[in-house]
Amino acid sequence: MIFIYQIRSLEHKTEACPDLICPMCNQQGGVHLTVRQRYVWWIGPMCPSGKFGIAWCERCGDRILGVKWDRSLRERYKSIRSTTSTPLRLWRGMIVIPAFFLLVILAVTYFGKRHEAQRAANEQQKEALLAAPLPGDIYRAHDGGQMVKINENSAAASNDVYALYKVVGRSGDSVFVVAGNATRISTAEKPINPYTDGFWEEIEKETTAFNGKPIAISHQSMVKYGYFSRLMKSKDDMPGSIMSATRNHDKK
Amino acid sequence: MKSNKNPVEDKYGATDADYEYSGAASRSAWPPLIFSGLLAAALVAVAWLRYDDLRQWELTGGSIRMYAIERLCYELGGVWLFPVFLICCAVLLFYAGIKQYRHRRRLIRL
Ligand SMILES: [Zn+2]
Repeated sequence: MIFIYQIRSLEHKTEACPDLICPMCNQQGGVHLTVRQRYVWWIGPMCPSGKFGIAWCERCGDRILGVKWDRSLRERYKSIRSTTSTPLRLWRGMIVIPAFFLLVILAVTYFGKRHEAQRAANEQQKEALLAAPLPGDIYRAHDGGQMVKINENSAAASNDVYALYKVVGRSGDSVFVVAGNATRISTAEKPINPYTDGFWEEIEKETTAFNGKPIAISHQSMVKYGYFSRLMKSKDDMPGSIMSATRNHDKK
Repeated sequence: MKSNKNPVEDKYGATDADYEYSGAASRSAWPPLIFSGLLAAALVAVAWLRYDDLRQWELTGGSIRMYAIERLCYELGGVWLFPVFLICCAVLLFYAGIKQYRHRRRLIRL
């Protein structure tokens, strides 16, 4: 954050003190006294300092050094200072800063809550649709692909197909789905991130038909975990997942 | 110990800050000396404590928390560099205090 501030000074009061003798030139009649206060200006005034006095003499034209102030000058300064008070507005800037942070916190909370509510609604819709699949339901899902060994200690999924899958039928624990013709294939060397903006919207736009071979997936693991797990497994098959589900009655 | 960015000295060798009166402390030469002395003593104490901690840690092992600047010093020059850095700060501070004390003494004698 750029931090530009100014030190400003507020003049409370200036008084002529013709009865006082100047400690610099020992003449009477020319002493003037002013009470001031400094403060920081950043967005608004804030952090006022203690008050201080400056005295000068018109006889000798000098200011009076702080170390030279005599008793009468000090007493006069005290009495003038006691008639002044730090105006509240010198603290005004202190309100701006917490107000700014409060605003940020409120905004973050508000948008966070809205996002959370939307996520919860999506999740609820998905759960409801997965509980009772009907032909025509469309899942955004990936099939998990196959496990590929990278070296002794690690393995990764490969040939993991991200696509729209359309429900075409159901029989017992099997839900039959057909993949759309637009796919993204994630490999061990080039894994894809389905959470990038517009990822699914692009696939939706490109999907013009569902004409693949029907795949049977387990309804039980789908309801329980949102898994996309093939019933006819080969050895290295990995479970995929269903990320969201929609039901469009017009298309049925 | 007041320092302006561009202290303009007048015919007395005084700066604007020397003309400000903010209480009894403005009339005496001692406050700058006393405050800088106390601060310098505190710095020396911290330096000694950290030196002791680091030495103990080197002997016995275990874990220790270090600030970035302290860690940099440790990696550059070992256990003593950070305490020496603190002591240098203390010396500079105390020197500034003495200078201000002598400056005010001179103004008082004018
Ligand atoms: Zn005068």
